[in-house]
Order: sequence, then C-alpha cells, then structure tokens
Amino acid sequence: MMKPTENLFENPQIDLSSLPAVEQMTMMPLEPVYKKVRIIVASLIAIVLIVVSWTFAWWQAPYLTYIHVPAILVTLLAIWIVAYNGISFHYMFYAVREKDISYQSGWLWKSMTTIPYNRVQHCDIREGLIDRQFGLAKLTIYTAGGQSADLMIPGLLPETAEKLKSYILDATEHSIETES
Amino acid sequence: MESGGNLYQPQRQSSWAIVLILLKYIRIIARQMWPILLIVLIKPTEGRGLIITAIALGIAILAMIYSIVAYTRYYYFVKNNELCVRSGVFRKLVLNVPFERIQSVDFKQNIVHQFLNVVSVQVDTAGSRGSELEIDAISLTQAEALRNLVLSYKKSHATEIAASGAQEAFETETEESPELILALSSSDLMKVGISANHLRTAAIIFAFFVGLADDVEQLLGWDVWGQLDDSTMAASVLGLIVVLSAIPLLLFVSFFITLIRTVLRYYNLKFWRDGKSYKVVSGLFTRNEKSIQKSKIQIIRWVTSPLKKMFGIFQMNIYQATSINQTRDKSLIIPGCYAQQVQHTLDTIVPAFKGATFTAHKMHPAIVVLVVSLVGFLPAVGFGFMAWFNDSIVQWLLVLIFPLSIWMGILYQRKRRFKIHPDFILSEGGIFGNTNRLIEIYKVQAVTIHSSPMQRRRGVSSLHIHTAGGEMAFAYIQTRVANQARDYILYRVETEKRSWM
Repeated sequence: MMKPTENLFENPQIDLSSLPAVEQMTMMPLEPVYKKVRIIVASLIAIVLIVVSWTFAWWQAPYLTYIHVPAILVTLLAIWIVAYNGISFHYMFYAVREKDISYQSGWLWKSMTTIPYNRVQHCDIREGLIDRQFGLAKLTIYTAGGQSADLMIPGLLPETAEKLKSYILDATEHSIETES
Repeated sequence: MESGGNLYQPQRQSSWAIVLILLKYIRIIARQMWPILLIVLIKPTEGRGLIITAIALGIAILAMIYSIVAYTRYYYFVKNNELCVRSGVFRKLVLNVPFERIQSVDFKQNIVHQFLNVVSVQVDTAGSRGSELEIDAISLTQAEALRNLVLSYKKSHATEIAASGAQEAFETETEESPELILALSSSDLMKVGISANHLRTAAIIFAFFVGLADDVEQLLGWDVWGQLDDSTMAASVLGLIVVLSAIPLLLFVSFFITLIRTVLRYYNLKFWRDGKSYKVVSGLFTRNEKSIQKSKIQIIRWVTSPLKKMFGIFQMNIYQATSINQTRDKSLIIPGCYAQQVQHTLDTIVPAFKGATFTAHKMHPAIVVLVVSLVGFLPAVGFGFMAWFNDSIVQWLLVLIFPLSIWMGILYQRKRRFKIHPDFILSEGGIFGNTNRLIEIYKVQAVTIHSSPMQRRRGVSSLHIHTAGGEMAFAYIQTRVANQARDYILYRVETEKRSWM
C-alpha cells in the first residue's frame, strides 16, 4: 500500500535532517479551565440545535411522517459537537521557538500552523464574555497572508498572553532591524 | 515638483466630479432597487404610478444635493509625505495615508470620465488593516503628478534602504525606457474571447434567471416555476427535449456574452514593464490602468485550457500583496500571452526560474476518492433523491455528475504536482487545462499542515502555504515530504534578510 518514502529534494544542497524540525518541539498545553469553557460554549450551541430541531419536529408532526428522524440526527450531531470539543482540548498545544511560533489543534482533524516572527504584522489579545468569567484570554497573531494564515491561541491566562505578545513583537522588531 | 505644486494645498476635485459622484449614487440606488423599478415598469397601476414617480424624483433630488455637498466637502492634499483626504457629509472623515504604505496608484476611466477628460484614482494601501482611498475625478495631469510624487518618494526611500546592499536596486536603476512586453492584437483578442470560460458565464446566466424568477414570483405573484413545471416537467419527454435544446442555446448566448465582455475588457491591451513595475492598460469604453511594483509580486500564475492550447495562448495573473482578500481584483491579468511572452515575463521577474530543476511530488491516488465523494457522490445522491421524489427524467440526468466526477478526479490526480526548488515552489494542476503557480519561498508568510484520520492512515497530509497574495494548498502529499517542506520553508524564511515586499 505505502510507496517508498520520498525525500523533499532529490538532490539537496543542505542536510535536511539538520534543519530544526517542528515536530520535535516542546508543546505547551492550554489552561485546564479552558476545557470547561469549550464544553460550555459547545453545549450552548448544542442546546439551540436541539431545541430548534425538536420544536420544528413537533410543529410539523401532524403533516410529515418521519419528521423526528432528522431531529434525532441533529440531536446526535449536537452531542457529538460537545464531546468533540471536550476531547479535542487535549490535543491543543502551542510551541514557541527562537524564530517562530506554532499552534496545533484538532483530535481527528489535526492542523498545525507555524508563523515566523519576521512575518508577523501585529498581535491582539481578546477576552470573550465567557472567557472573562474564567479569567482567560486569546492571543491572535496576524500576518499579511490573510485570514487563513492567522494564528489564534485560545485558553491562555491574560498574563501569559501579554508575555507572549510582547515577546513576539520584540522578536518581530528585532528581525526587521537586522533585515534592513 | 512644479507640475504637482498645488498638490500641497487642500483642493477639491475637478468640478466634473459632481456629475460622477451623482452617477455613482444613482448606480448604487438602482442596483438596490431594480426589482421595484421592474415592477413599476411591468405593472403600472394608476394612481400608484404618480406616488412612485414622486418618490423617485425626491430620491433623485436628494442624491443631487448629497453629491454637491459631498463634492464641496471633499479635499485632498499632500502633507509630510502623506496623502490626506478630508471628506464626509454628516460625519467628518480625515484619512492620512503615508506614502510608504501605498501599494499602487491606479487610474480608471469609464466612458463618462473619457468624455469629461478626467480620471478616477484608486490608491491601494496594503499591510495590516489597510483601507482604500478613491478620488472620483481629477485631471490626468494632476493624477500623474500625484503618482510621480508617490513613486519618486518610494524610489528614493528604496535606494536608502538598499544603499548598503547595493544589489538589484541599482542594476535596473539605469533609467530604462519602458518595455512593451505584449500588445494584444485584434486577432489575439478574438482568440482570448473564444477560449474564455463560457461555462462560467452559462452558470452566471442560469443563476441570474433562477434569482430573477424568484424575485418576480415574490414581487408579482407569478409562479414562474409552476408554469415551467406545467409546461415542461410534467411531460417529461417533452421536457427533456426542451432542456436539451435549451442547453445549446444557453451555451450559444454565453459564448457571445463572454466574447463581448472580453472585447470590452481587454480591447487594445498593453502589458508594459517600466523599470521596476509592471503595468497593464486595457478596455474599450472604460480604460483601466493597473500597475504592480516588482517587489510586491507574490504569486505568478499562468493557465491554459484545451481551447487556449489550440491557439497556443496562456493567461497570466500576477498577484501582489493586498490588504484584505481582494486578490482577484488586485491581480494583473494578462490574457492571450504566447509561451514566449510568459517565459520572458518570468525571466524578468524571477530570472533564476529559467533552468531551475525542481523535485516533483505527486498526490496520493486516494485523493480521487475525496474529490469523487465531495463533488460527485454526495451531489449525485442529493439529485437522485430529488429526481426520485419528483419522478422527473430530466432531473435524473443530473446524476451523471457521479461518473463525470470519477473521470475528473483521475485527471486531477494525474496532473497535480507539488514541485520544489531551493528558492521556488511551483504548483501544477488542472483537470482539462493546465494551471501553474509559482512563488518564491522567502515570501511565504505562514505554513499550515492539516491531516484527517483518513489521511493519517495513508501517511499523507495537506500542506498549505500562505503568501500575501494568496494561498497554495497541496492535499494528500506524503506526511514526511510535507513536514520536511515546512521545516525547509521556515528555515529559508527565518534566515532571509531580504524584505518580502
């Protein structure tokens, strides 16, 4: 099934294995209380989905047979959303290196974004309504690569977020100075 | 400096701007209200007509007053190497754009502008949270003075930075005269028009009529779909004939519409290289002029389709760093290039690309399954249900999308390549045609790797490479290759001393 593994370059000029590998970084977990926030937010969405679908089913029941089937499916989806959000908390990490920052997320559908400091445009820290109740903040790092290239780290203590932000901005400033 | 001397004093636009502002508002209002206007025209009920006329007249007068006030309160000037605009009818708006933030100064002339001998100026600012600035109508000399001011500032600034390096900046600084890379002849314009994407126009026309039918139904109470159902769908065989004859008609109409659009848009197109910037001027009634500075170029794309291949032509797009997601709008589009012009343009923008040897990576064949299930299987199931429910032969035809998607998926997998060179990444793909996209690795902004459970089982991942001019995604390449590519790209970006724009 598997093909023989390929190399990035057939004829590399540099030793690829000597490059710092992103997979071997120390990954920092988010604040444990953030799991609660995720479950609360997901539950709110789930409740809305369940209420809307069953109200609709109850209202249409006299006219449509089997209308409860989609409602049951929506309920299962809602439960799945809550469960997935709870579980995926354990797969969310960030990693800070000398020259870049990475954020990893997702349990089944994994994704990891890395931004070099010398490409950072600006950072901001936001505290959502629920976040604030639990003393959390989220840090967003913007590049010129548009929305899909932005990196958002949720579930941080405001102090940590502030510290990370000033570290990144410092590093960005420094990299620009050496550039010109 | 003499020519743009008064640029430093706050000044109004050309007085013709009132007309253009008024036309702009009328266009906006008309776009919002056209369904209502349609009804007034179709169903003139006595008595109501008078009221509507009065309202229309009222709106027109208000728009006129608003335009005049907007005109008198709009001032632009240059101060401390910033372009400043003061405007606003109800609220006062002050916008200062530092010259170094300006990406491009483009001119646009629609037919009214041409008649009045003025241009509208669009100033694009990139970077974070950029905003755009538009001056509706000023004289061409004034506009050129403004642009020269910005360009000369940027040039002197650029040389300051590069002074220590003494590289590229000076090599091309020897005041080269502008080089005409491409002038689209009328026969080439025809080729571009004939080989344009007619299916897309057909889809737009189709969507337009679907939308129109809905609007008419809502507003007039005519049951357009019901009438169609009565006359065509009920008698399925007849319906089939109607639909089968409607398809060529639709294609025929789309063909002409795209042809006309192409002529309007690309008439007398000229593609210039002027020192360190690239410029495209084109258009029959509306003359559009767009330019991109070489250093701002992020992605170069060249595309050919089966029809284009027959004529031997390509379409090139040059994408630059943009503020928001308007990459399409802000790219230079150069249709009707021959291979030699594509090569020449690449040689001038990225000289090292010529003769560069790339290592190619294919996508895992499992991507066919993904493509087929997303664009083939799921829609086919949906259409199947619909056809079964409506008992319509015509709708069963839509299920053909499933076998079609298998064929397209296989073609896609066969052509898709992730190609890498120490300095470049080349994305190759296309189903019937060929699409190539080239980036310079040091201009990458961020890298993302995604993987689904299905992908991990096969040892593959999706690699997304973000640049300021758009994103390149490679689904289903070996995880090992994706990881190595990420590490290599990061290494290149982090050790790069050149600025990405």
